[in-house]
Amino acid sequence: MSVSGDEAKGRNLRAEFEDWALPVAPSLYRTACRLTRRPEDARDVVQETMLRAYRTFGNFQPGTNVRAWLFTILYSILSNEWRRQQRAPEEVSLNVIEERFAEALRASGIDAESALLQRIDASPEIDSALRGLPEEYRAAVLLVDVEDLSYEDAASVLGCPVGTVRSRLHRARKLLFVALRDYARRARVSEG
Amino acid sequence: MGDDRVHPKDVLQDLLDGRLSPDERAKLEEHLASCSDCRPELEALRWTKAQTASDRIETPLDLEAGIRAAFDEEDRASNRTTPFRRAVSGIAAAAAVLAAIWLGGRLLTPSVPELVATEVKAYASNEIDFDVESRSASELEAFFVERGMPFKVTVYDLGMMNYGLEGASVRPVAGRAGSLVAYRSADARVLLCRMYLGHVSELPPPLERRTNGGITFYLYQMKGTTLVFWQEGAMVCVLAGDADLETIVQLAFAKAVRV
Repeated sequence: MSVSGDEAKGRNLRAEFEDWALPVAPSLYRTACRLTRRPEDARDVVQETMLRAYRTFGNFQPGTNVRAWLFTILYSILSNEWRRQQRAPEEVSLNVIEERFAEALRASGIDAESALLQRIDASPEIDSALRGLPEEYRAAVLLVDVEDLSYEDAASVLGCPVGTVRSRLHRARKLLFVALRDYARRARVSEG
Repeated sequence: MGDDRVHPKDVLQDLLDGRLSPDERAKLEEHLASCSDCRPELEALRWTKAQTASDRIETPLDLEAGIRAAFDEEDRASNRTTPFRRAVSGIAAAAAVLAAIWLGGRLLTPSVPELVATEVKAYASNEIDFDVESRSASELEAFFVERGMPFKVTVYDLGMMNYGLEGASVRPVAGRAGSLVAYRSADARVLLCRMYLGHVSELPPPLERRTNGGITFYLYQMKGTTLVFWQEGAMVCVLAGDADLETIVQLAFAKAVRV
């Protein structure tokens, strides 16, 4: 049985798309879970992201960062949903964050001679700390610290300047530390 | 004893994320070696970043199968419309070749500024159909999301500059994914905003370059149209219209975002 040129082309396009995009699906799911807070919604959003990307794959240019492209679609879907729900972006004053961070730093007992263990067993607490962040801060920290996107790619995904990504990361990390300070105290090791 | 040194705390994050030049890094590390104020802060940020990076969520085992099933459904749906799609793509390809011949008087692909200038003329003569007609920026942004654009399309509200929105289309530029948003003023001036995946280095030499707010703008004038290009992340943005050069330039200055 012969295969027409168009059918073969279609199959190749799909195979190519799957090779590029499916490895990113777990990352998209993780991020969607953290941003929607509901696993069942995350699954739907990832599927929709993949479908939209697949439909426009014909426009895809070799050399484009596939991960950043897929995250851009994912974030567009989510931010559109937030806009539909008329959710206003949350802002936390930088002064308030700096004060709370300084207090948490003191309370954690870290000093110039201390180091913190890389990991502690506090997954539920990290989860809770992430959920406590304003959505825009959470998105920045998820893209850069969890998914390892560059500031530039994260800026492209979030549709904001690189400086805004930097500022959101700064605030997000300090708020996370405030939420995790008791665990930081536990993770503290003194040298010497 | 007081410590009256300047503590470069705003760049601790840049050190952590590897965004300092070798010189800046060496200078900061020299400061950190003797500063008992900055070191704990850096340690706290480093630990927090490591904690977040270690956070993992289990992926459902059937996630990939669900996606493949959605592709199967999509393929079935698109196969049902294949004859129509083939006809449309055939007409579009023929039209593109004719446009290339007409635009340049030769079988060469016109430059992006030439293409956009031609679009502005066509729009001014009401010869462009939009995928969607709306006066609402949020509706048009939602349209681009629905269409799965590979980048976030910002639809500017130019009401303050007396330009009202008319419509938008998904329209590639030189084969790259692109958006088109159209405006018209009360005195019938037209303005197109184009965004597409690409880089300004691919553009032909401009009439003039201007810098504003750290962004470089590339100015062109052709076919009675002024065009201003600039880079925003992975996208090239264009404002093109039949108003005078300074009006278009000021609109671009007002709307461009440094990325």
